[in-house]
Amino acid sequence: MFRRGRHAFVLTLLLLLSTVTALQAQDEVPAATSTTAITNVGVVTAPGQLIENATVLIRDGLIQEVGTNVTVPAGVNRIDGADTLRVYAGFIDGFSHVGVKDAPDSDEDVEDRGDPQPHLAGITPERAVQDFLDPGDRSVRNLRDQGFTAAHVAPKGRMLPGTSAVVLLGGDDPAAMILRNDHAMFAQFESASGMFPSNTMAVIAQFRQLFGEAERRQAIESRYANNPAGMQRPSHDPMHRALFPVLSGDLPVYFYVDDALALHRARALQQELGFNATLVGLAQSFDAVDVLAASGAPLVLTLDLPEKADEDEELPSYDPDLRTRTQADTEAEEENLKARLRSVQQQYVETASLLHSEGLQFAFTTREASAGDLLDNIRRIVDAGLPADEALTALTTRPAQMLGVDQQLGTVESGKIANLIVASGDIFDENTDINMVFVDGKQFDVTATPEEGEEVDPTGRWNLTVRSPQGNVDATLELSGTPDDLSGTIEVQMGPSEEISLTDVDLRGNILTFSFDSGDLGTIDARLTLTETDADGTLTIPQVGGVPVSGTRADPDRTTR
Amino acid sequence: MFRRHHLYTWAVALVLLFGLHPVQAQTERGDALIQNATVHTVTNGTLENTDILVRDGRIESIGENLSAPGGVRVIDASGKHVMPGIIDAHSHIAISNVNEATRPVTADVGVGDVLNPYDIGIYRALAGGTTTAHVMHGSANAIGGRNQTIKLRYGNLNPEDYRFEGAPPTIKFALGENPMRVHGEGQSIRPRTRMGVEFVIRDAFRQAQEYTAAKEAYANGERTSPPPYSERLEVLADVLAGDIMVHSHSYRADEMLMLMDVIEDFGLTDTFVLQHSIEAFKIAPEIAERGIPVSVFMDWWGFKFEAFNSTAHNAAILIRNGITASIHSDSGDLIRHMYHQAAKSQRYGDLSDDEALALVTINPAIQLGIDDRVGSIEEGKDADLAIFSAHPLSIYAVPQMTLVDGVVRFDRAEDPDDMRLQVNPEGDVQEAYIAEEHDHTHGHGHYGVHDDGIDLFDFLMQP
Repeated sequence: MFRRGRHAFVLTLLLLLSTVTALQAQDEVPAATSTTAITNVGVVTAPGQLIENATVLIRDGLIQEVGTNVTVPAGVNRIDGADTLRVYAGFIDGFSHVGVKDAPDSDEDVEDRGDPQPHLAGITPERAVQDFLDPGDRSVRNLRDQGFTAAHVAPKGRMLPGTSAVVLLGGDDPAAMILRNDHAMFAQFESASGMFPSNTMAVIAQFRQLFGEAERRQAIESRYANNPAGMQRPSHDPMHRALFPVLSGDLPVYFYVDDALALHRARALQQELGFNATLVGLAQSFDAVDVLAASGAPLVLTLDLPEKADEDEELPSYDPDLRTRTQADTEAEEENLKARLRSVQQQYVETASLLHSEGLQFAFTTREASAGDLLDNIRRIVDAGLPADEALTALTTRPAQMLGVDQQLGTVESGKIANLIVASGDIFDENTDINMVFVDGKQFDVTATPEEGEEVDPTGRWNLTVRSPQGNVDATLELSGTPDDLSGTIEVQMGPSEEISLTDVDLRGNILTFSFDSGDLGTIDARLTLTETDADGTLTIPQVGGVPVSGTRADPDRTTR
Repeated sequence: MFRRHHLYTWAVALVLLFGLHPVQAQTERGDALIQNATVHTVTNGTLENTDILVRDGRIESIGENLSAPGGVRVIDASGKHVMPGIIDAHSHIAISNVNEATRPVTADVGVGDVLNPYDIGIYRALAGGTTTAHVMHGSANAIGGRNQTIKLRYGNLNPEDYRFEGAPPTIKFALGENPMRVHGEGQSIRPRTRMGVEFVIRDAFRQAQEYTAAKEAYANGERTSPPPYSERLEVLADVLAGDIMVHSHSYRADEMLMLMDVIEDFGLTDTFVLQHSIEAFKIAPEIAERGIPVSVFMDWWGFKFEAFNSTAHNAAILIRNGITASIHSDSGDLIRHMYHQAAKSQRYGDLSDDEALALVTINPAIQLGIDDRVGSIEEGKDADLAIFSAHPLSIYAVPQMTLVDGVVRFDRAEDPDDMRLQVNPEGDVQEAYIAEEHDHTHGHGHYGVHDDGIDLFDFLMQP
């Protein structure tokens, strides 16, 4: 019953959607050989370099030509910029886990919590991120919608999760994502739970232990390689062996430090153990600018910023010397504390501009930031004093250089991979929308994200209609739980139907997103804008695209809880 | 008095001065002339109407009618008392982690790796005249982690600036119920009993000896490869070589006698200090005979069964037996009024002023191996000084000013409401009040903003 139901649903959808695909097919040849011309646009070919009234010609995934004298061949897919659109090189995320699946849970028991099996304690330097890529992961689309077309990604985990890769944020299978493997070793002060190393202090000790033993094994292996005669064969040990290129300095360590203390600790460890470090994260690094400068390490700064302060409240400017002597003055003290909080929040936003004014160069990491806030945060950073050209550099050419892919990415130049942003204007202007991005020459439309409205409680039952060119399909959505923790099912009213459980149900304000597994069609993502009574949005179906969906509450009398 | 808003200027100035060359911790040193004070030198009696001239962080001269070179700050201490900056031989402030409780021997870890300059507890300790603290690993393990002696240079944001330069490294050992409960009861591994604690320590020492022997055999060509690297055994080998002092948490007399035997068997009596030791008064002659220093609570016991049998006369009895005894806080609260703790030794034991002050100054300095630098007011020593409104052993005394390396780190006349060095950017202003209400009492907890969290385990780990 279960199988049959799902099958029927899939068949119905396929039937309905075949019209959509057919319509699209008239305009579109398969992506791998497609040619697209973006005409009448301003092209920011590199930070600070704008060509007006230009054309960008994309063919076979590469930028074929850029300029004002480009002849557009007949029959290509044309996008008219109408002299208002701007084309930028796609942003490059300097470090994150976008499109990376969790490592499989191990059901092994801890044999000795003082000396546990390394993989249970988060020590897996031998793992490589290419084994964990998932192009269909929602994080890929979320980042793309903010203009990011490539990313430097590492496995998830604890202190030593494994080696990273540079990936393109498109592609249908993991192999198609990979631009460059084995770029760096990922490290962080992430302790194990209930076993050694259970805190930062022990993680630091464990780094010393791993490096010490790796050094010993490397010496033995190189001795054996030179002259094995009469020597016992060294045991095979992938974990320590994975650290050999770190010892030699050939493989950089991307050390994630989420605050100033972690930064000092990573720097001390790096000086002691002598590895080649790139410092990543760096929130609160305004407290340690001298240490950053002295380290000479390449830097990747977080795009996560504190929530915007309540700017409406009138406050006196912060007085660090304020001394209230009696309980009657607590109001003044509290106002001063609020003023300090506000100035500290601003300090976080100004970090990029501070580092820049100190002559420090950096790329950006999206790792700790909410994907939906990225473009806003970039604009806040620019508003706080980072020159726009420098911000663009940190999002394009600098990460391309740091990641060794500057021949392929980072600028809009002929011969480079067609990773592009098409925006409605200056990308640092708060009114500008990203219309579409290209990854590897493949076009991805960005549906303008409606502003989040006031939070709506979506629980209950909704009658939805999926509108395809060939006719409407009814569906019932049932949601339960609390706005923070929602779950639910969807049932399509056609033929023998079944309830399919929703995954990744998430509510942000009045925007509801969820996914469900349709079986053969893959995972369908839904995005609905809700009011108390109405729902409106899209279903995104793999290989097909967006299909409109709308509906109403099945129980309209129900009052808001 | 340093100012927070000057810190950043300082950081920038340092970058400009040193360019992109590696900047090692720059310890700020101050100049000052303290005039007309009653000076409790501790080692050379009490001097009336005396001046102390501080140059470049050191006490340059002590005498009458000293003059200050131009630009040197003059501090009028008429009617006030100056004593050496207080030294706490057992503390858990200024660190992000206390216990790594996952195994009974964790010599490989060290709290010096996780110093936390943002801990407001540092400023509070300064406000009680404390200038140096021996920051220790917790007592969960028979052999715990390495400790770190720090100077309370609050205002600096770099952890490296807090290390007491040249202070001998030390390691924490712990006897009795804590390691037995955590590992024996908690995990059904050794040590389950007091006997087991002795075994764990002897066994660890034996492993370290074998490790060292294997390394030597490799060096002599008797082995084809060195033994598998062990950070833990490397540290224990340094302990056995006498390069790392042992500071052991202990309560019962029988256990102290046991550990003294173990320590003697491995030839470590000269690098050994007993901590807490609430039954030390029972075995004072045995301790004195071996010349082992002891650091005790002044009048705190009875918080658990093995800590039931003590007396407020403990410190005085040890002193009268010729033992180098100190009083410690083990607490973020007591560290703010160590002068009160010292004063109690006059009520309970009738110690002299100098003997009482020595309990929190020169004696802990000797125990930590830093008495050539701090612990008394002598020419050539570090200008770590505490100025009080009255005799520091008087209940009416209020700390007025605290200097570390000649730099004023606390000044009661300039003590703003909010002395935190960091603010959680997504927090609430109420956090400032909450942080004030917390203390570090015995819980070994740490309540900084960017905290690694209050470990329930640390919390349960009473001293």
